[in-house]
Amino acid sequence: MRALAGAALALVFFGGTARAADDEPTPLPEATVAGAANAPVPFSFRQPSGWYNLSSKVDVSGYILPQFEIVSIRTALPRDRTQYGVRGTRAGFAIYGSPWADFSYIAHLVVAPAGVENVALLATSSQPSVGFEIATTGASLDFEEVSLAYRPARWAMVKAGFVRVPYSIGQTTPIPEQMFPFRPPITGEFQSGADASVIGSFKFFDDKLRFDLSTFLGSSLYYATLNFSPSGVSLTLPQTVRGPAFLAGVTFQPLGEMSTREGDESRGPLRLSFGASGIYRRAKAFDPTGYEASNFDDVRIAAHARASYRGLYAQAEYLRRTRNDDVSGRASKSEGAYIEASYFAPITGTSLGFGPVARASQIKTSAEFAPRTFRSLEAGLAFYPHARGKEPERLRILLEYFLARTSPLDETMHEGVVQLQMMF
Amino acid sequence: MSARSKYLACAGLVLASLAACTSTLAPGAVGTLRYAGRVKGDRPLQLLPPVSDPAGNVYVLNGAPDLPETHVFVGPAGGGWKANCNITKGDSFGVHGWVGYATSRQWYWSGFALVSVQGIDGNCSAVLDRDPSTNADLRFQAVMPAVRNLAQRVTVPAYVQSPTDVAPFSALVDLNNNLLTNIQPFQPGDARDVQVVGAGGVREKELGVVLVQYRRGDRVSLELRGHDGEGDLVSLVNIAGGPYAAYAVQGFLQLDDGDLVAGLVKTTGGALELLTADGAGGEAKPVSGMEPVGVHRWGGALWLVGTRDSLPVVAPIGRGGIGAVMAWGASGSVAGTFQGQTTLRDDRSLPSREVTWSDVATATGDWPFLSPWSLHEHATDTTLWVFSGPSTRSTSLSFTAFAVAPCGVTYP
Repeated sequence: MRALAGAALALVFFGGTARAADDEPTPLPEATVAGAANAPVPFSFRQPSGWYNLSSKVDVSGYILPQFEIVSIRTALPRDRTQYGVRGTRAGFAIYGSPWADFSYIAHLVVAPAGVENVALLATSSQPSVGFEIATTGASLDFEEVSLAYRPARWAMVKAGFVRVPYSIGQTTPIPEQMFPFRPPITGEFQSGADASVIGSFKFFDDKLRFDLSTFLGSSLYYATLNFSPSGVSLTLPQTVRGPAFLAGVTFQPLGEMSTREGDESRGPLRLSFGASGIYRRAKAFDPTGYEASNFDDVRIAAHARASYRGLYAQAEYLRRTRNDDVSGRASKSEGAYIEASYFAPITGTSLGFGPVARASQIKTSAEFAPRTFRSLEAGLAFYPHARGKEPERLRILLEYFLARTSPLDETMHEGVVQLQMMF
Repeated sequence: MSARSKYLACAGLVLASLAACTSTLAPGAVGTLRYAGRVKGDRPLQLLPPVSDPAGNVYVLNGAPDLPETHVFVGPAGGGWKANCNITKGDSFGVHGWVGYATSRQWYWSGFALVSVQGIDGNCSAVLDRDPSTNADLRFQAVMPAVRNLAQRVTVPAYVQSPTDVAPFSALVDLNNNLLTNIQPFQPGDARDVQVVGAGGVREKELGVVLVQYRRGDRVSLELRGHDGEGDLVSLVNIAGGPYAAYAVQGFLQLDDGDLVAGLVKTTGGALELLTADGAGGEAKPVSGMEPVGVHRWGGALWLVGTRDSLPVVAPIGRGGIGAVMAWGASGSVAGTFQGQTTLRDDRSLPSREVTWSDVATATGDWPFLSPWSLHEHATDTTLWVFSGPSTRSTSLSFTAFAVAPCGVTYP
């Protein structure tokens, strides 16, 4: 733990010196500032799919996200009906740059400190049904992205590494760019985390049309199964899946490229984005002894629409997956959607700003067997102490209320969250 | 290529990616047969309709209410079969049936035992064989087939009794922690000879029922008691008729989406009568127009299934009894599927291989789907059924192979 803290501090210090060596962060040409007309979104850890080549060889950024939450679930065990903790508290560090022309790299790590109390939550899926009281005994370190990118032409880029594949827009938004403390809850049923992948991205028509093609390992596609025993719950992967996954996606942004941020604190001009993506995987599952057990096809689609205008931001996404195998005689299907919106408003005469945020989502899981519907409603208010600055979102305090409800077995969860976000 | 053509090409790509497969079987169609194992006896075998869990694991129970033996076959969703579970309790009664599921788990009630079965490895364990606080032997007199699988806990309402208790207690069984909670004594307190005639429940309604008979002085009462998801008594309806023997209800009592409860109950004379009840009361009546086999719930409605002129028939159940008796086409179609050689997937040991059987037929009952137990909804309009294959004889015992397959089903 001490070594980890030291490494983190060294990273921050190194980031500071790296910036100091540049005297000032390399100013972007006006035409490349996000939000300017027809400008490509610049590459950074906040925009890892950005196109613009940084001139600095190394840059370090990060964020701190302390948060506190309280949860109430009436149908839980008496011990768990009211819980509180700091689940979701984390710090992110990213080192990135462009050491040679047309090449860039990024390593984005997320650290969750030791002693974070986990709280029991309702899950969107019918799969995890018991016990989220998995004790956190030490700091966890996750790789949000570790990748190298090469741009052989202005319209083409190839990225390889451990990346969130561009399937669900809600799952690919970098952590500090999210509207809420957590990603849209339903998206975790379809995609979760980064994946070993190679992604080819191609832009046409002044960057208004973008295609993404990818082949990836598939570890982000959620095949885990919970194993139960009277003595406890453990997460196991009873079978090993072998078979690459393929992704194709298209994004159309008729008024120019949009930032991936779920908000419009820059109060920019009208921006629109429409996209769809699909994943196909045909794979073999091997049982724990190593022998082939079954074959399956997995088809997933996603479609999204986003819009921003003068502080107003809205995003909607639809996701669906169907998995058919040659043994069970039952397709595994899930279908979900969410819509979220925010508004950013500086308070006249002060340096402060505020912004309401809201999100509604629904998912139907296990559609072929005992369907389960999960609905959630989130509403909150964000405060920006430096609303007049260039990037008000760098310091944000968010108060959130989260309501989740399942059916046909009626379960209701109320959650309150306070989150502080500071980017550096 | 013009800009417009490029846009159209993109739209085509998106639409192509939106196409997704469906797997629903047509009524009467049979999916892939999986060779599950072999059981004692010749056709018809003593097998309950197979069930599955959310993970797609398949479970088959070998046994019967009057046979104090149980054998469970588990087919994990990814392939392979396990058959290492045979827990039951007592020598008076055998299998009552499957009572519910959670992810990768199923529970069955056999004799006086409630048993948890793991879908991943087929291992099983008795739930609360003894009271952990008193070490008293616990007997599950009734388990309502309404396992409630919540995010934080999995429970089922039940009636439990130890040898020293004069009457059972109602309780909520915490299936994750193997605990009894909300334990309530049977009322009235002076009830004697309390006997469970049948049990039923619906998971989605978070409601279970027990048909219970008891003596109070010289008077014998027959009551249908409803318990909610917390195990609390929420309804009590007097039923005319009886007395009945213990566990006289064939399979489970079934509940429709309203407040109708129905079950096929065996009289002391051996005849089968249809018992129906709602909030106002209930009674059992003889069945005419068919030889009844069981009451099924499908799509929220109740159906009486059986035979007429040795052919499968089905009739809707309402408050006044049964409606028109109709031929059950789906059952007949499944029976007519197998002609000559049939190829199966044998995944008892991996990697799986193909085997061929001749003379494949329903493994239990006179026709497919005819069972005292309601069919299990494995997927949309799809159930699971067992089919028998070749028999082998060793000394005085014969063993018959059986397979499980998804089948399209509809109730007319």
